[in-house]
Amino acid sequence: MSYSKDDLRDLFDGNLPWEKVKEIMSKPKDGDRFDRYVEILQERVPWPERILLPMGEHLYVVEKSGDRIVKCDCGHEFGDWRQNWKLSALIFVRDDTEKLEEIYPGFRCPDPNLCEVREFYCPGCGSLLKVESVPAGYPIIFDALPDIDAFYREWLGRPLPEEKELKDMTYEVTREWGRDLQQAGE
Amino acid sequence: MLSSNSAAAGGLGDPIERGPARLKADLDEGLATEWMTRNVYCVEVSFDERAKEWKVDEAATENLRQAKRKERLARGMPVKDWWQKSRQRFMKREFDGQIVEMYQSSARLSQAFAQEVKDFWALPDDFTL
Repeated sequence: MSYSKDDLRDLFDGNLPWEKVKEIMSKPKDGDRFDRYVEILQERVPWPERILLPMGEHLYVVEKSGDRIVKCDCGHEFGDWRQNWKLSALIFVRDDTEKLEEIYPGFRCPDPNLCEVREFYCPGCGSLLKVESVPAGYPIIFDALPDIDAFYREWLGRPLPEEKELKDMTYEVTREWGRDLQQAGE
Repeated sequence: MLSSNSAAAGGLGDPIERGPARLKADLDEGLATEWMTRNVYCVEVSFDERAKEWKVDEAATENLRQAKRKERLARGMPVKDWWQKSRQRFMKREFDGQIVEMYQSSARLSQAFAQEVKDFWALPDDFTL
């Protein structure tokens, strides 16, 4: 089974009539959906790198000179997909009543002693990419480390030519930041 | 009567990318406030008394949204700078007592969690939460 690119484009944009959406939902998944979806996204982004995996709104894992990096549709690059991209973003933290009340006025406002809201912005275009609400001091959450090779190998049945080791490399970044502090004479 | 109010914060995507027509519909149905529409979604609206419906000012909306992006780029800081500042705070345990207790009891329950926290803040091996 297969759907037209126009129908899929409308589906992703939320412009398909509900009856049609319901029909798609009730049928077995179309086998070529992922490839069609990526085709549509690839036509929309202004850069040439191949999209390996969409990571939600704005962000994609793309192939660039043999590496797999996270890239915003505006073109900003965040680094290897195995490192939490948030570490390369801009952060704004709502950690007092005044800043929290801009979003949660009145009795909806959480206790700033117990909770902070972290907003992550793309340094390239200023899009709000992610929000997390955590206790102060909590490590920045790594939302997802997708196993891209397993997906291409086992789900799409066509492995990517150069497989990469799957491991969380986020702490390599923080370790380096720690070394920078030592050198600065902490 | 028992009334329970919980503040949930679900949502997907950047509010300044939501279609202005959808905000107008929410306003007409009484599901959104004018303040929220202007300050969170950055859609400029006014109530048309004669037609008894909300109207969107497209050009002003575009300006509001551009201004919001600029505001974010100005107030956002590189995570590395934030990390250095927050690491100091973590090492000095400058938190509410309940948060200190949360880290300590979680560390007792899970060595893996304790290691994750220490790795994230690049804390010395002998540091105890």
